[in-house]
Amino acid sequence: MQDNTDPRILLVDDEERFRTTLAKRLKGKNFEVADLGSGNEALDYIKDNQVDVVVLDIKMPGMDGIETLGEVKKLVPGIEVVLLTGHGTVETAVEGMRDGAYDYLMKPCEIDELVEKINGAFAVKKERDLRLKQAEDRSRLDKLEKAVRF
Amino acid sequence: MADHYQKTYSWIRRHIILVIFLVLSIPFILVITIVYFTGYQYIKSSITQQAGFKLADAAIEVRSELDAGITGLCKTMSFLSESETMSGLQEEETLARIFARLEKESGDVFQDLAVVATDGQVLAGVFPYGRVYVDFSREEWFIGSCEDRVVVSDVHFDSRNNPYFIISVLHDHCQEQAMLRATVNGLWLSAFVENVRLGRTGEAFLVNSKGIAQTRSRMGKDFGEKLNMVFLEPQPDGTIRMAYHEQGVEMLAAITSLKSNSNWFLVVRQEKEEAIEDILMVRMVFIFGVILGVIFIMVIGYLTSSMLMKKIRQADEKKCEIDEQLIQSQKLAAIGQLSSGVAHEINNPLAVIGEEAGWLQDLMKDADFKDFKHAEEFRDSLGAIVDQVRRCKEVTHKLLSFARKMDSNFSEVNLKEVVDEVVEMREQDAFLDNITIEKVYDKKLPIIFSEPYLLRQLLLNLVNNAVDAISKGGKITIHARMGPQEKVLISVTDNGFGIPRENLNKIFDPFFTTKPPGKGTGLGLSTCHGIITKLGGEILVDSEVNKGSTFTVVLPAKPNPGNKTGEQAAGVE
Repeated sequence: MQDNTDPRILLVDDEERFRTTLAKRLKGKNFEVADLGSGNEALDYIKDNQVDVVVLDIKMPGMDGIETLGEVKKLVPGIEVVLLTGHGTVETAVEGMRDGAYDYLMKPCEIDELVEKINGAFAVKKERDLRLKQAEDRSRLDKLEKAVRF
Repeated sequence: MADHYQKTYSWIRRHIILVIFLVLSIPFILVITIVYFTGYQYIKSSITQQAGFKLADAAIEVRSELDAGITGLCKTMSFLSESETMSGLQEEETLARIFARLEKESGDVFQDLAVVATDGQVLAGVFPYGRVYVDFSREEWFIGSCEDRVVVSDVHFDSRNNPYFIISVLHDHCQEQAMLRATVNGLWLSAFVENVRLGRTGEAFLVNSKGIAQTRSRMGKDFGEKLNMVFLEPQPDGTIRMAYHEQGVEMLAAITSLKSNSNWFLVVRQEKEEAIEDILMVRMVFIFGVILGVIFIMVIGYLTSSMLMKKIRQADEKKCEIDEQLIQSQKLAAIGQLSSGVAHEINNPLAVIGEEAGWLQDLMKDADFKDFKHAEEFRDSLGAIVDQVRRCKEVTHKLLSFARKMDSNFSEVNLKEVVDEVVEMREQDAFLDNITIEKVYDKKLPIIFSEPYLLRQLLLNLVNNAVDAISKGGKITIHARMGPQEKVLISVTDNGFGIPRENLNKIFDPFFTTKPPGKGTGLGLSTCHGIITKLGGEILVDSEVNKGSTFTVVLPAKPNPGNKTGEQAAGVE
């Protein structure tokens, strides 16, 4: 569908300065980045915009990372999520992975690691999208075949 | 450890000893008193009584001998007087013949013989000792003779101070009356009693009703000695038994009057102390019993108090140990809570700083900065910032892992696998430093029930420490074995520089490190301590400077139900 485009990232973290700077750095590494300060805003955003990978801080006021993750997966199952965590919440991060997150990173994180994870998540998404597309193509062909036969 | 309790201990000890002694002594003294006033006194009085019987028996025996002797003399005299006529007796020749017969029959007993008229005039006489008598009318024996047929007088002394006594027999022939009077040697009488022997102090002697000694005695009484004696009512067997004091010595005596002369009393006596010698044995046994009892009480008191003290001391020591452990774990928990709070708060600013620096680094890569003359300085500074942020991050992560709470995922763990894994992780580094790691496993190493991740981290920390303790070229031995009471022991031994004694009690404190700044956080062993507490085991250290250290982890092989639920409760929170 959108094969050769840059990955579109949504960065969700309540720590504004961290979020904006990280967004700038990621943009510098050829990602399309949007950044938001809370889970609710993120949910609103993905309803209207195409997003490939969400980088989600677990510890946030209001709706926390895990809840947001659940909602995101409910809304758009195809989106991959990378969780950011303080060390104290590693178990929660692992729990998040059971709920469908791609992976987690401990804050403060190395930019290279983050990029790697994002790329990994994006690759998974791309591959799944590809399979989805192939399946759709196949089913269309099947329908055509049936139509031709009868 | 409990030296400052010494005062209290000696106080408790004194009281215990006092109480035990009182508790044991009071009944003991009671029993001793009762035994003394009943048993001992009863035995003593019965022994005294026995001694009295013995003396009385001796008295009766001596008395019958004396009576027989004296009566014998009297009978001989009576016989002779009866066999002669009054006129015959008055002839000197006949009298001399009779005296000769008397001497012959009774030995050297008779000293002289006389015939005395009823008015006291001497009618005839044989006086070998040269005594000359004129008138007897006033003499005591004479007065007595007028009333009784046979009279035995008290002992008198002649001019040469020889003791004698008189036997007079009334001659009563056809209205003519006269008395046959004989003088008997006092020594003959004395011989009966002088030879009586009764132990060491026993003696016998005769005394008249006025208390004047009639014989000598073995213990030095002499004829005519005035004795201070009190006579009591006689017993049924004719004896008087009594105890009295003479010159401060207690005497036991049996007294009996003679049948041949009711004026004479035979005294058989002995010092009481000797007479009741048998009581000494009883007394010895008694005293021995008392001493034995006292020793017994002392030994029991000492042993009991020692035992109690030992128990108290042990309990105190145990309490101290537990208190110390409690304080240690409370301290660690408090520090953990504090540090995790700090770490959390610092983590976010750190992340921001890291990102900002990274962003600047990114910017520096742009071509625009090629001409910037301080570009190199900038890059260097930013690099330093990023490095220091990384260092801070390490600290905060370790702090958090030291304090973190997590669900305990207890499962079956193969110790051998865990150790192998850990060693594999560090073997490469160790090899570069020329350190060999040796693994020793017991053949019967059980599959234990524990938390594999924590266990791995624990062992990894210990191995890291061991590697760090060896500068270059050394040996680390990991020995996993079965211990007593279902415990598993894993010891990590290095031959590194060891831990000085003064540091041994600080090594588990967070942030305690001997490494230079930046090289170690001082959280390794405190994390180990946290983990081992979580796993329900303990960690032991044995170290000698320049010889090396051994850290031994003791783990329960089987799950400990009480401990586990406690951990889970803490984990769920």
